[in-house]
Amino acid sequence: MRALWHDSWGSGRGPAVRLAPEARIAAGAALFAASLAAPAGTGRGIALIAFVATAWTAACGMPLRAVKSFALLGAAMFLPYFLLVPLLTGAGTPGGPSGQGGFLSALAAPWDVVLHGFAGLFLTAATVTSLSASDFRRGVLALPLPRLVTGVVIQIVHQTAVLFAETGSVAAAIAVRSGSGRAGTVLRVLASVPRVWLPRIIHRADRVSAAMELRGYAETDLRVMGPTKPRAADAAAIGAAVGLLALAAAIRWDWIR
Amino acid sequence: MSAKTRGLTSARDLAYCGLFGAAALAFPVVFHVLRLGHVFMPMYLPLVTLAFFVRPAPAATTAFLVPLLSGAVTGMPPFYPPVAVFMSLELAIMAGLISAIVTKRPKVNEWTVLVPVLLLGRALYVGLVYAFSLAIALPAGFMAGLSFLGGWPGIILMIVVVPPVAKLRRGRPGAAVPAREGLKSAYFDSIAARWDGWEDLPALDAALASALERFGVGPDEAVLDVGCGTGNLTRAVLSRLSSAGRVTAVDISPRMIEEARRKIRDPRVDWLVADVRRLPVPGASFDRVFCYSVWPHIDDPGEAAAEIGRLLRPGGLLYVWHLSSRSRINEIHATAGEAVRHDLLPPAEETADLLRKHGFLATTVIDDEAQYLVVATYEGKGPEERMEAPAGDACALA
Repeated sequence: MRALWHDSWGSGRGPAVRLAPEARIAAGAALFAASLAAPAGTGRGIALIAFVATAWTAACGMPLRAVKSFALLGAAMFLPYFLLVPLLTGAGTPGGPSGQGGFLSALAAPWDVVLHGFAGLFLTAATVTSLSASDFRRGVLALPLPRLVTGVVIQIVHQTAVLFAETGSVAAAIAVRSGSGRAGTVLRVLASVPRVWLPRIIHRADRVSAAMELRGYAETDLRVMGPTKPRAADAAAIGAAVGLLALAAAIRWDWIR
Repeated sequence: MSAKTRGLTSARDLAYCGLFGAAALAFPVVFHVLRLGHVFMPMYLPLVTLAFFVRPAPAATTAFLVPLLSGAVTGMPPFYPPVAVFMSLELAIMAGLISAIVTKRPKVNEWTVLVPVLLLGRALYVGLVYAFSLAIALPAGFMAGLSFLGGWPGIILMIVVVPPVAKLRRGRPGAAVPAREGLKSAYFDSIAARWDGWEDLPALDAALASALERFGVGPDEAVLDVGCGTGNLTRAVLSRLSSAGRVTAVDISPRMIEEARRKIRDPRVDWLVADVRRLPVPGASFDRVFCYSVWPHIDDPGEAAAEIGRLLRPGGLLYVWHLSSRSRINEIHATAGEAVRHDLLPPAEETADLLRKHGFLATTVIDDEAQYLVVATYEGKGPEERMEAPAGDACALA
């Protein structure tokens, strides 16, 4: 997970990276919505979901290593849903589906989870790989979001970069030094949460807030550095994404035959 | 939470939200590295703890955003099935509720708040899983049961871990809830070396000397200089005193006192790093108390007035004084650092009224374009009733 966090930000090298950061975020969000809206039970829906996920992953230039990592993660998270099939075939349940048709119908719900799950996973991850931390800050600030949301998101992303390295090192040190078997490690870590981890975070938050106060931080500091001009490419990307969302909705509610 | 804020959140709230939000993203990494898995709900721990330290809106917003952010960047929790969204809703409601209760009743027992809110949150999460599973034709009872059973180790861990940490929010100076004066002290420390560079010192010295002449400061008097800063008023007062007179110069900023001591080496001065509301000085010790260019920075002027009353001899004089207009002072503070941004000087009549409530008789009240001055005589209790010094936390330097 730590590797996923670090590898994700700004590792994309595709053409979408040339879009304005806010356009990448908006287009990614619209495509994600399109993938959710499209039904997983029809050929057109499946084609649209697959196209949207593949095209956006390619457009963002998601590195192969990240693609493999997310594919493995997706397999671990979503494929176990197929284990529910025996529960869904309704064996022994009066009125439950049975036989070949019953089996296929029992596959529908896990298939829905797997397809939408993989698509959502790749769409969000691809969007993140197209954004460096500074792109993300700029994009979030340019979007019409409440200031509180913007401020909190930017702070979290900024602090995470600092905290991840330190946290990972300390965790590894605990793992190496605990030497008393798995149970001992578990107890040691759990005991350290209230005595070490959380007080350290409180202490650091105090220092950060004092520094912010001293340099006169205010919500008005949340502004985009430099002018941003709307460009045709950005408008086209967002327009295409919204168009695909509309198409997904049309397929879902059978507006086109 | 003493920090005055503008808008929905303060710098302090944002710093806490950023750090605890980051911790909520990092804790699953720790648990993952140590092969503890997600059974202990490591993302919940920091977010539930955060709710005890910040106001409801930032607490709920952070708790809502973290699972979504984690889902977007690392893929966990997933957006479909909407585990990330369910966690966001559960956490936002829990954090918002805890923060709202703690804000309204700061002395409430942490366990009393935490346990029912955690149970409510879990019930909401299980309900959402059940409803979603029904909607997409998964075995709803099985999925909800799995969610219900899977959450218990994490809930037990939170019940054990969070309350002792949440107790840190109660009056730990400079830590969980940093005292406002601590921030001010740091702020004035940071500008101490530059302070005199912003003043026209010859003009200031002349203005102070002329004013002290008018005030009639006598040669053998004992004078308290509250918020002495770099000692410009202290020096002006010393120039009027004989060898029998003395000045006690007080400031909350150690660096300001250092600057003042570097400029003034005089055995008639006692330097104190202290808050005027808690001075470790016997009662009825002073003939005059000057609050020169400091009144708006005092967090509780009423408490300060009571303490100054304790320190003055009967008939002693208090001067609340600025050599600029009130509007100019407030304009300067409004554009200064966050630590003093909200330190506004009230109309002089208001200050006079406040002093009257604490046993003073205001004899001069000036609030014009040239200066702000309230002179008040202390008419309170006799010295025999006021000899005890409070248990202050001052640091005597000389």
